[in-house]
Amino acid sequence: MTEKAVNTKKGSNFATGFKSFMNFCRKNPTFTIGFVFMLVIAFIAVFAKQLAPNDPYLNTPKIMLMKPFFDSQYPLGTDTLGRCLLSRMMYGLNISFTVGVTAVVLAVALGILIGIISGMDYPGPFDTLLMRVVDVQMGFPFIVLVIIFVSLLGSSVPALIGVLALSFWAPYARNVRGSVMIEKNMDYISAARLMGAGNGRIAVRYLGRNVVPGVLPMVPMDLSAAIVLESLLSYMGLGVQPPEISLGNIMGDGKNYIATHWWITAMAGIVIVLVAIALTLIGDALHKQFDPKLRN
Amino acid sequence: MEQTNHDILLEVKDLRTYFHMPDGVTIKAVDGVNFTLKKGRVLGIIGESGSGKSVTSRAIMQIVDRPGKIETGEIYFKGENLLDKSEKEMASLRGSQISLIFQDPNTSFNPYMTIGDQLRQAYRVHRRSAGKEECEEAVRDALKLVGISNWEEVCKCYPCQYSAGFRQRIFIAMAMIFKPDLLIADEPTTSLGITIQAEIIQALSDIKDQVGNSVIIITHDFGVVAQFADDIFVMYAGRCVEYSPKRDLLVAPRHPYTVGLLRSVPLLEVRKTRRLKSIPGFPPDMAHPPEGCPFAVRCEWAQEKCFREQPELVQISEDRLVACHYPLMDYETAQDTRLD
Amino acid sequence: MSEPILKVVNLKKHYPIRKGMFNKQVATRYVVDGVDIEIMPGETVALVGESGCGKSVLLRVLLGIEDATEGEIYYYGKNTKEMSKQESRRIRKKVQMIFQDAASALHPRFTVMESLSEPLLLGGMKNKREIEKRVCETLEKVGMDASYRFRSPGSLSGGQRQRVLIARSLVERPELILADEPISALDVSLQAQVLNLLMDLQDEYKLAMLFVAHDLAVVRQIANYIMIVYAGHILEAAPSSEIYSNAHHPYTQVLLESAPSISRGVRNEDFHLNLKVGDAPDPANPPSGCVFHTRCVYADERCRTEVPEKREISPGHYACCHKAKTAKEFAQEGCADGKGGCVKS
Repeated sequence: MTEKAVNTKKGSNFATGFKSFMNFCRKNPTFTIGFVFMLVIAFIAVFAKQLAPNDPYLNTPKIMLMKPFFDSQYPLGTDTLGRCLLSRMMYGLNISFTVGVTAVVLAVALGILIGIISGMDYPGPFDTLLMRVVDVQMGFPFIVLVIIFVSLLGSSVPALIGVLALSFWAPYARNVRGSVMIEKNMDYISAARLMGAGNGRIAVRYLGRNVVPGVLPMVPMDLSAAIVLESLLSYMGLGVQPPEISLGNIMGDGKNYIATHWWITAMAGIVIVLVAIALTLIGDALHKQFDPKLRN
Repeated sequence: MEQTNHDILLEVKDLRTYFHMPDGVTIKAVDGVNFTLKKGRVLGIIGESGSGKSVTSRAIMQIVDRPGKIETGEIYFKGENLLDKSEKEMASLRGSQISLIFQDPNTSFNPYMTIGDQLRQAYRVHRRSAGKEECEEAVRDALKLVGISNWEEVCKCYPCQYSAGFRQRIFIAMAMIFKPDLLIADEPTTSLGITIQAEIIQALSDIKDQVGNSVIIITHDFGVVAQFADDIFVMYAGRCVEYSPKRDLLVAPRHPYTVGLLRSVPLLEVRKTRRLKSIPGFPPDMAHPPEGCPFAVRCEWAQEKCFREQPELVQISEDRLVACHYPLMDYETAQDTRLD
Repeated sequence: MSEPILKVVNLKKHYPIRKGMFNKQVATRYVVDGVDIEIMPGETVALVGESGCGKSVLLRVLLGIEDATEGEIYYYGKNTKEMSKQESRRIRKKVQMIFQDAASALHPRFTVMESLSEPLLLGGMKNKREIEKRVCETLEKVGMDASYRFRSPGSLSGGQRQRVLIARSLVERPELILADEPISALDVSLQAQVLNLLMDLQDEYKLAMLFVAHDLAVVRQIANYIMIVYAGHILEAAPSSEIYSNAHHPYTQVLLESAPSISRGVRNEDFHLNLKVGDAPDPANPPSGCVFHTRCVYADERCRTEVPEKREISPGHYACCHKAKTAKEFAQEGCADGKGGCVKS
């Protein structure tokens, strides 16, 4: 430690945070590309209703199956019922994002909660029980889970969110439990107990802060997986039901015309792939940043 | 200090080892180290953590890990410059002529192999065609050297069946299996208890008496070097600050840093003054070493010149070298040690 | 004011070793086995022993992190077993701990300010400004600038972290500090700094201290009373000056003689390790009789079978040895088994 470093005054938290973020972006161009792309996509998804040029539900049979880039009013063409594809994709993004983000947030929250409880309880009965549940969950085939869920609850957006959250929480619980088991033997936890901190405070204030950075890099990857899975389910008819629009639905609608009007399916597919790639780039960079073994 | 002197086993000249970190910072871990080691002598390198003492030993063995790099220097071992040697030639020297003992006896063994197998394997590294009997003999001799008489039994056991102290003993046996001329011990006793520590030092000095090898012992514990070493070499911030025969250094240190260190060591025999005189401040950041003498900011005798110019290691008497502009020529340790 | 702050009577901590499907207890590890301690206000008692002798477990039991198997702990004359929740809360404020490893005893993501204000918050202090004031004061007391409160432990050096740790134990203005090897992880020059700091603080706040160490040299600077621990037992306990001049237990004598020392180095003396080569006994399988007999060069039949009683050598000086006598007398008598397990120099 040089004396200079000692004397630096504490700047505002936000400013230093922003500065180090910019630094991080400069060092990881792939992250920056992915991040900027996702910002744009997220903006479109959030403001789909304001941005969409046409009503995506409006059937206009006269102009059905219009090619893209031909008409300025329908820049990406129309589908079999003559609905504006661009507007539909925007709305679809909105739903796909809502489903994906909510599901992953739920999964992370559930995973962290269970992981902390389990890790703190180790080697108690709670831990044994919860970890068996995790084992079952991780060994259970996803599609079967979906079919059970859909047949029980019917396919709706909340059901879709639930099923995705359920299929993503287990790795988080594992990961968090692992780090809690290491952290809870550290002296600072003993010190906290000596000061009179209870289990709740230790879980939230001490352990919570430490485990979140560990799971953060997993989030973008899972988000991309959630969006892809949502589209897959909707494509198969198990997910979002028409007239609600999702990227998977658009692809599903287009599949009957794929030989002659391939772009309907392709455009939605490309968007999904791009989103997945962008999220993977972000996740990769976060992995490198947070995993000391890869940092080198 | 001539090179031609046959007594000299190892001579290190102006050794510099830098670590080029990925973020563009260069850490000068070892920044100009010179010393000579005569045959059959024990050299103690003492310094605090981060002073570059371990890197020095690794540089001699040429096992500095990336991003570390030996920048300049000459290391003469038996008159040959080790830095000119190829990796293959170095490999044949390691273990057979120069050996290294690490600090942590827990991680230095393969836990899944018996001790006998590991020792035999160590022997076969340089004697690939050695027969079974030859191996056994070498293993037996090595274990006997460190005072293990029930060697047959020990050979059949796994490392985890023994305590840390015993494992360190076995590790020394492994390092000594070819009776190398130079044994480098990097903090060999740091993680051990006091009685075990004493046992290990005892074992090292017994070995030295029997084999007649030279030893470099690296430690932060003045007690260990005082007990075991013939010459002491004090490192601070990657440089040698004082080099001298043991007794002279302990009784009448010349460099302010050595003085400070000796003052701050509590003694077993007497209670020093109510408060130990400690060195104020903290060691410098090696990524941005200060311009002048690296110790100047913590030195109570520092003058204006010390902040400007880096002192060279100069000879102040027949066998003593000090890197200080104003060495303390009439300081004696006794003046800081008195009974209450 | 002659009541001890901390009094420990015959404290034991045994861990069961369980195996098999039904967790049957197959053996017991006797980690702490009958320890008595008494600490008066303002006094420093040192526990000295090698690693694995049970010192750290003892501290954990004293602090209530783990329960004692047997024995009583009294704080201010009150038995911990009979304390109400409120009382033990109050005691907790008065008794603080300094951990050995500052790197793991500070939350890596807490700023210094957060780490130091935590005990105050949990102690019921609400006023933010008051907390901040107290934290700054305490930081300055341990020789650190108040601006350090915004730093995180990762950006501090080892010596600074240890200071923060000491500051944390001081924010509540305790009367007794239990220090678990507080300086052994530090560099030599910093050890002296921290040791001096502890002594200054002790003078200022009239702190009592239980100082755990493995090194008799360090302890000499700070302790009034020294207890030598081996395999969960206290082998010798005496006022500081007695230990160094008049040790009566062979183990204490070994510790004094075998520690590498500068003065002996200056005199070019070899050191005699008056000890059978080996290890401290396995706590799961303690030797019969005296715990030290497996390594003691003077041990005879009686030591192997009969547990030695605590003997008073002089007022306040106790040794647990059948043969307790000074090193000189031991040397004259020679080793028990004729040929001698004495290791030559």
